[in-house]
Amino acid sequence: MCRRLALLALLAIACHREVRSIQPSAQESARLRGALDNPYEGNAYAISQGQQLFDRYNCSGCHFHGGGGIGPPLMDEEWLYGSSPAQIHDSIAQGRPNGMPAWGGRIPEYQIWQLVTYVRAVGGFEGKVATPSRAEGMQATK
Amino acid sequence: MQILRRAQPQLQEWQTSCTGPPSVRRLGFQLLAACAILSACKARQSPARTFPFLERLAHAPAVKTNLVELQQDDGQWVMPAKNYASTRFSALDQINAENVRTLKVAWTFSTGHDRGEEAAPLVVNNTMYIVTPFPNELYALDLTQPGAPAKWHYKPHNLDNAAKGIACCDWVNRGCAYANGKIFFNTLDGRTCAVNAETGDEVWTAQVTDISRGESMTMAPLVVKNKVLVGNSGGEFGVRGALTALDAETGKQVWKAFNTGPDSDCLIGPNFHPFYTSDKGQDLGVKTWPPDLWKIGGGTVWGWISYDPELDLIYYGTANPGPWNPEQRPGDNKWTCGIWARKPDSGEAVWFYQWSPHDLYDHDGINEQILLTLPIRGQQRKVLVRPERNGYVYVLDRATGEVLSATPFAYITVSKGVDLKTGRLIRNEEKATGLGRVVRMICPPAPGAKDWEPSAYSPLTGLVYIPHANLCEDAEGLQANYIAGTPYVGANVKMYAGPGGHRGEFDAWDPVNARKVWSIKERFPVWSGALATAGNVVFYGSMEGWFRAVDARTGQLLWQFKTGSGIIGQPITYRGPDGKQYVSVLSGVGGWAGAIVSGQLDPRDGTAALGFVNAMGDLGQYTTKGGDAVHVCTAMRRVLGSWFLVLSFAACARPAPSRVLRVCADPNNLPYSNSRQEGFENKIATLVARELHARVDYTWFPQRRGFVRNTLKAGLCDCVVGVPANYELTLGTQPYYRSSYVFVSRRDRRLGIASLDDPRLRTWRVGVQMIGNDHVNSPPAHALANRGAVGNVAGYMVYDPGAIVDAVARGDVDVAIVWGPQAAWFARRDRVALDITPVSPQIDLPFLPFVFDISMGVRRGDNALRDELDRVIERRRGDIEKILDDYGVPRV
Repeated sequence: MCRRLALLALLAIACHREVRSIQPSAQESARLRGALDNPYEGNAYAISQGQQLFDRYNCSGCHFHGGGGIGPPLMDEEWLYGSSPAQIHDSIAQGRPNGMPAWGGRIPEYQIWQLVTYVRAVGGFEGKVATPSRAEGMQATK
Repeated sequence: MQILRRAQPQLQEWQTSCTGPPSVRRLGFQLLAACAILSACKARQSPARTFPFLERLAHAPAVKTNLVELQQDDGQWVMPAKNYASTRFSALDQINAENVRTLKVAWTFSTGHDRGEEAAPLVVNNTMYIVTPFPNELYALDLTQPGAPAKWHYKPHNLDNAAKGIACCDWVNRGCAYANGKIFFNTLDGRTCAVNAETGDEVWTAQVTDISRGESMTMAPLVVKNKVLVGNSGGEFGVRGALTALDAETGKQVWKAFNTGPDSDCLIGPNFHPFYTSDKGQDLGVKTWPPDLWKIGGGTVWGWISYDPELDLIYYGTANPGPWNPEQRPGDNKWTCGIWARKPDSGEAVWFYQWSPHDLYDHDGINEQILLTLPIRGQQRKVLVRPERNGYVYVLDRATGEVLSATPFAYITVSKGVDLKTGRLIRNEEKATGLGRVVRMICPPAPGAKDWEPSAYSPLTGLVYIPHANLCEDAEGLQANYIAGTPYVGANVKMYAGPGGHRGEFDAWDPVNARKVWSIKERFPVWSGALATAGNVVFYGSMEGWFRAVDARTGQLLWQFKTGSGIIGQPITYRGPDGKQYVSVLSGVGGWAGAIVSGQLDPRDGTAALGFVNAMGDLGQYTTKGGDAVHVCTAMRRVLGSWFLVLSFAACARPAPSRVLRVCADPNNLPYSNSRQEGFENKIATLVARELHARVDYTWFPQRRGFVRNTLKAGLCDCVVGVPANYELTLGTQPYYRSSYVFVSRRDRRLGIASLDDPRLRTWRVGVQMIGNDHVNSPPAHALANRGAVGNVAGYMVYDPGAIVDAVARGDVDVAIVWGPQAAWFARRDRVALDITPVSPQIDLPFLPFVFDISMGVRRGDNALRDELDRVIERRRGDIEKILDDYGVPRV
């Protein structure tokens, strides 16, 4: 009996140990709307997803892997429009006058925040725990 | 009695006048020099050289536009490639391999922008036209004014800054075009602008491309038969490539030829006759693509167009297919990476050849093609020569599109040659890129063995001068997603230096024998255009900012100048309003190769800027951003002797002051003056001019009979530097020195002669100067005659002032009585040591002076200038004395 209770307690605790949206959805976007702080700050999953989106939405076509090209670098210390999560969010959502497209309303809100978190990781703002320590692909090799 | 003077008009004028020192004059040779120099002072035109291929183009029957004539005027530069054949060759030869080392900056102009400057300036009607990178301002510089100030500048209205987000390779612009009194150029946000060349007023603009689809414009238009030909950019954005012809007067579209899609869109009709089988068929612009992918297939037109007025064909290349990842678009992907020949009136296609079918490496086919007539296998053929991105110099028959030869000019690993039977590039399958694969040592890499930077051809050497890169890359294929207005590429790339380690080269290529003749290695890719001239000098710029002149025959570096920023622009040359040859280039690093600096990219990411950053991480150590036009001027007048150029050099280096001090002087009368300005009067003139903030302009005339009348009085000049102080033909300043006749004798004889009363003068052989055959007509002669010394007196003509001094040295005479400055000058030069002693008494009886005050002279009545000169003499007396000391002028 005690063991069963302990197991149940353990399960209960385990169930509440993490709150993570494995399957983000429209509800997730609704929850995030109007957020000023980065809801995914320090979230490894969000950074990883952001990295995927960064390629798929052609962000890497202009910013490459942080070095820049058509668009400015994201890995250096200069931030034309600000480096806070809210500022990066707005740059992505609203676009910017010198060529940054506006993604707001075209991609889900939660994806914008995932991109924000990834961009912050590229810029070195995210903790080492969450940021992937090893880049993948050809650019990482000599 | 006759008294002689230096400046000597009619003898009769002097009979009653006061005294003066003897004149020294020369005839013949000196006059010739004076005439040559006088004519050089006017706008001297280089004789027009004619070159057979250009003549044929000029006399083509079908041409109506005057651009065919204008392109021949080497004094101007009316289209970026100089001419329709795209030789970028000028027949100007004032600047040549011998004097180019004295080239100096004449003036500079800051464009006010600091992105890559790829344009070629134009010079039309003494106005220079420069287009800047986005915001694409057009400046008109007035070359008739010192410093070439901008007379107007035009800024396109309502620019869309979002265009910066779709420019793959910096916000560059490759230049403007001129026709019918208008300047045409393209903007990054997709408009062609037509501006009145005289006033800068906008005539029309036409929106040609749509930036929301990632479509922009960077190329320089070409005007052919009153049609402005403009092509789009955006091959990295899934743009559908096309060339549009706009009416030069109205800007309305006349025709548009796409480079992908059905034949009707590509203006392929019954007159289309491609040479090779693989280009024959219906709607190949659709069939060689997966369904509908031709709509985002690329094949843009952002490079160079040439025109043959005889065949009435325009030639231009098409860019890479999109996306870079080739696996998403199996098929030959026509009509990308190829070259069209079309009729300019209708745009209809005549032939096509594909450099790189199913391109795997972003080898855009848009480079320049030079139209030449060359001997190929014993026959003169009308060809086009194309140093192509894929690493081969192609020679094509430009009437049919047949490949006559394709020879590597760079290190190539991705292909093995061109099959001349089928025309097809032979791929190295091991280097094929694709999804999930990393392929290494891809040579040439994405920017090719050579990118857009145009080569030049010299008919004198028969060589093509090719600026290019020496790079390789690793590439990884990725899935590319098409989202309109965003990059559609699908590749990670890292570039690096090719074999040898040098990343750039400037080569001379012999297109007839298909071989490299000489090669200059450069640290960075050579991203500037080349300029060839009839002076056998070739110009190009380096990405560090060096503007270089090399010998067209040998490649030897003859001159270089470090500009403020890396050079990726196209140098031009022209004749200024002053008749001198100028060379101009824009300086301002950027473009794809220089994006790391112009875009301030981060070198830690080697894949940045489509992989170029990996190869250019050190560029920032060698150059910063900038945007200047730099103009160097020639070594000015072509006169006898090369050391005159040293002084032109100095005069050239300062911005020309607007005041001119016009001086009349003898072109061959040392130590006073000569045409090389080596005399002390020349030095004094320079000093005076500087004091007056003026520059000296000489009128050369021998100082003999008629000097003042023919120069000062005739209004050809305003000042003579040395005249007797009370010379009645001029208005004189205060004297600035007093000199004397001197005894000249050999030092080793120790004659110790100082006085005219010395009795030995009656027995010694004595030399005196004279004019004409009457040697009684100089003061010394007179004085001697008065003392009974006649028979022992030998006369020496004033024409040869050194002769009398020589005579003393040789021992022909024991002593000579010579006017001081001359005596000292020639005595110094003599190997034999000579003594110089002023004659005494200074004034002999009854009134025969042997000393004279020398002043500067101006026209009688020109009191203002005389007073100015007086003040200069006052202020700079010390410096004037020093000049006289340098020449050993004896003063008493």
